Amino acid sequence: MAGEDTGRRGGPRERGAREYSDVGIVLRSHKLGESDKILRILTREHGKRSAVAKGVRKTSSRFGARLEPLTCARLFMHRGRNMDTIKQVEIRTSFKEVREDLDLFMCAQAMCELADSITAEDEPHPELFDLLLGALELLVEFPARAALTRALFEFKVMSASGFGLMVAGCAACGGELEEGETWFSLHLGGNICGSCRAWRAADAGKLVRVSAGATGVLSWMSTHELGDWPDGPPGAAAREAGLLMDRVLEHWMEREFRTHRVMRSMPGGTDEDSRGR
Amino acid sequence: MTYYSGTLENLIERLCGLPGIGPKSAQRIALYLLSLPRDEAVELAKSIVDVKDRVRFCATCFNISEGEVCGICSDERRDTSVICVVEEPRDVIAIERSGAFRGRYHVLGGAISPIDGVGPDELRFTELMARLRGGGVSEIVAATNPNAEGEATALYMAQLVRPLGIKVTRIASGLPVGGDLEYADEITLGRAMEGRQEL
Repeated sequence: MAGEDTGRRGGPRERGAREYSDVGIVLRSHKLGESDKILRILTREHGKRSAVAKGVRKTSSRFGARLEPLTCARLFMHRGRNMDTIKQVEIRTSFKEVREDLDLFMCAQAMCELADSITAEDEPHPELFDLLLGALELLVEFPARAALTRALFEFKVMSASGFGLMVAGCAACGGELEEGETWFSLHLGGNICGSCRAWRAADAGKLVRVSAGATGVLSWMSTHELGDWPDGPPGAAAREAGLLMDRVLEHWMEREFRTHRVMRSMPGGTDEDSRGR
Repeated sequence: MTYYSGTLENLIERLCGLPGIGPKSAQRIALYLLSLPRDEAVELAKSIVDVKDRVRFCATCFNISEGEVCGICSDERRDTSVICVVEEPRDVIAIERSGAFRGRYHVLGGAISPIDGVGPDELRFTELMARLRGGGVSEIVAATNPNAEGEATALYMAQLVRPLGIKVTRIASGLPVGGDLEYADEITLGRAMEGRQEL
């Protein structure tokens, strides 16, 4: 429960009620004053927290490297009136392999932006934490499948947030979808059949044409979990499904994701990198 | 509720907008300025106006300059074949203070941070590429900060510059001189081991 110590590493009696520890992933950071940073951390038991890390920008800091974005660490925090203060950090996984590869870093930042956007401070969401940690581990283990990992992460996060996509049948009438190319309704959050498309003229600007391959990938994602891989190498269909997920998310959140915009501005125009991820 | 006159309140509000200055500090600075002799206060105000009027970015490297071109770019004794790419003008000062670099600089104006919406288009990569295409450069030193954003910027720059046949190097990371090994964090120590050199 939010606001209480997990008790795993010494409870309130040991360190006072305002001290707590939890495992967290650093989502983002920004500079504060001369040498401090404010970090946004997704903790497993305490939800999203904002915390001050004092002096981390100095070269003499022992914290700095341990609190880089994407790092998963056990954090010992002091609960403040407005913001927590980080007292101690033990790295669990640094994910430095992700930070040392531009494409993986972009993917990971997009996942962090999503995790940051859909959570409110102090609301525990262990399922989201586990999904993000699992996705980051997959980026390290299977860098060539980064685009599919991100798309599947986004799909599962939407499902976990009560916005599961309807890809098995028509999202409007529930009927069967035609073979081959289909249309995806951003309004309805799912594929729609030809007859429903004909009378949903008002949705015209919110309908996305989806290839049979991408529909297959979406359908596969609805029945598989992070860590599962479809047969065959990731290809154009997986990338198309990933781009569709980005559009669905932006429609759902009613805003453009900053990471998506930066990815589009990179050479190549999308997050599809030159190695065909 | 306002406790001071409109003019003083206005000054406090202005000072409050400065980085690192909170309401209490702003109030203290405002009262100190009020206690200054008029000449000193005018000098201070004039310095601020002069900075705004005279200081600009160097047309070549985008470092802070009082002329069209900064002192470093116009210094003919400096090596023109090596360009050190940094994030901010204050990084130029830090490297200059070391006395270890005699080439020229290029200030990007930040680092790539997708989650903050900062991509290559927001930085001065186009200007860097124009300088490189002008010829005469054999090496680029990526001296961005050794953090996630700085590394991403260095990686992007390497991808961009390598096709031109120009060597791209990265400043080393490791232990601070004078520090004890046992106090180093595992990531810094790991980097130091990776970058070890033959004696």
